[in-house]
Amino acid sequence: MALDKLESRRTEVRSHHVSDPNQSDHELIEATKNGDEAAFALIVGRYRNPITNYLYRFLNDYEEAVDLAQETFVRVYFAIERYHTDYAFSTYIYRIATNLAISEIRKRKRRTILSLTGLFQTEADDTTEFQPTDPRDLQDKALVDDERSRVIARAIATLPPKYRFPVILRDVEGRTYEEIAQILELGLGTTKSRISRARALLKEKLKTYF
Amino acid sequence: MDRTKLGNGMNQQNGLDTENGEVAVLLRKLPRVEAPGDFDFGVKARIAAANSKPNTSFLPFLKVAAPLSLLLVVGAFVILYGTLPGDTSVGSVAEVSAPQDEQISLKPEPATVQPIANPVSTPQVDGRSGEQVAVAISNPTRRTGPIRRANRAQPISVREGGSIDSALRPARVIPAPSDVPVREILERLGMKAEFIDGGWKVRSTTDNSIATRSGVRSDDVIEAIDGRAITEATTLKGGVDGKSLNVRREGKQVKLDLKN
Repeated sequence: MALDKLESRRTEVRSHHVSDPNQSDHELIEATKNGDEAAFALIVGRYRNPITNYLYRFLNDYEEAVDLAQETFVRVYFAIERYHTDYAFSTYIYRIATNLAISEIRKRKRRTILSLTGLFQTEADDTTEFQPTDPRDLQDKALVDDERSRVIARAIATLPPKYRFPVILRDVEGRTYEEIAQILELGLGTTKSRISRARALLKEKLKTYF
Repeated sequence: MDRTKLGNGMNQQNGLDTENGEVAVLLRKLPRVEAPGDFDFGVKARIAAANSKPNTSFLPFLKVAAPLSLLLVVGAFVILYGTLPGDTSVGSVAEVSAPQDEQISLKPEPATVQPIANPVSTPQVDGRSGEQVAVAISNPTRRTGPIRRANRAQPISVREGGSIDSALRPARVIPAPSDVPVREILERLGMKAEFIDGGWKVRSTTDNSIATRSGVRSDDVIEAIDGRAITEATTLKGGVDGKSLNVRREGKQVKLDLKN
């Protein structure tokens, strides 16, 4: 009898449960599975900026990045029943975002719209199509910083995708090597090697800043 | 996901970042972009749109519709044209194509010939073989039936098929069943004979005829065709198969197989 009352109370609490921003990702996912829309909104709020930034650094196109970031959350929402808590949710959502970015690149290639920034250069073209900025000093520091950011962004965009993904995840998003290996479904050694290669390529492109 | 957390993640593996570490520092200094203010609204709108979107997948429908359409097309073709190409099991339309001599048959098919009420064209009339009518042939075995020709140099132009173009061609005429005198049969086989002393005595044979090829000689006396004894007044109703001749030659009975 007492057990029945306890179970009834739990059910009541669950039905009136309000998602807590301090809940872990997995708890929010479970709540979302149970129909808690607020929990999903918390997940969106938690990851919208990192995912948007990640996609923006990869695509170098803000509108496209926002579009794909939103699509990422839609995919998460509709596949939430299939999500297992075997690994971190951040790994899961970054992998979805990465796959969408890869699909977008393929679409762009099909449309043969080649970016003037050399976005789709192959590995053999690593050292071409890149114009470093004028290294002369400018009075306005903000202007200098802005210009430097744009040059770095363009330099990143010239990297082949297989180097671009890991170096952004590592140096821009700050993910660990293990996470990156899981997101990209690569071996740890391959991941480290690609990050190292990406940095070497960037150093060559941005040598005016060193 | 604030910058502090990101920084902590990086610091955990600084050992690996020492190589070209200045690049990592440079990238870390990049300003972070943020999602627009209506980002959440956009996500919700997309989810709502996806939920309200009807299932537009036509794959299950196509799985049924494609073979069904194919079946309907084939069915319509069969119904409209009466038969499939190359199918000889369905009746065809006869045509008028050659003089009677080119189409001599010792055994027409009386049971399978049906007159057509309105023949496509006026048929030729052969005085020897009697009346001829335009016919529609419905016998599936007609092709394989015995056809004997008096003149092999002129092939029988039998064209079959159920296509609509053959239906529009002029009707072919074949002899109607009738009683055929023995003399005429013998002539068709390629010999001229007279009835003497109870048998048809061969006076002459035509070169390259069935009679010649079968070994009939002048002065042979034909006594029976296909085992049927023949007299002067014998008529063979519906013709004969034309398989063999019983011949009396120099007082001996000889059986000759007829060869085309």
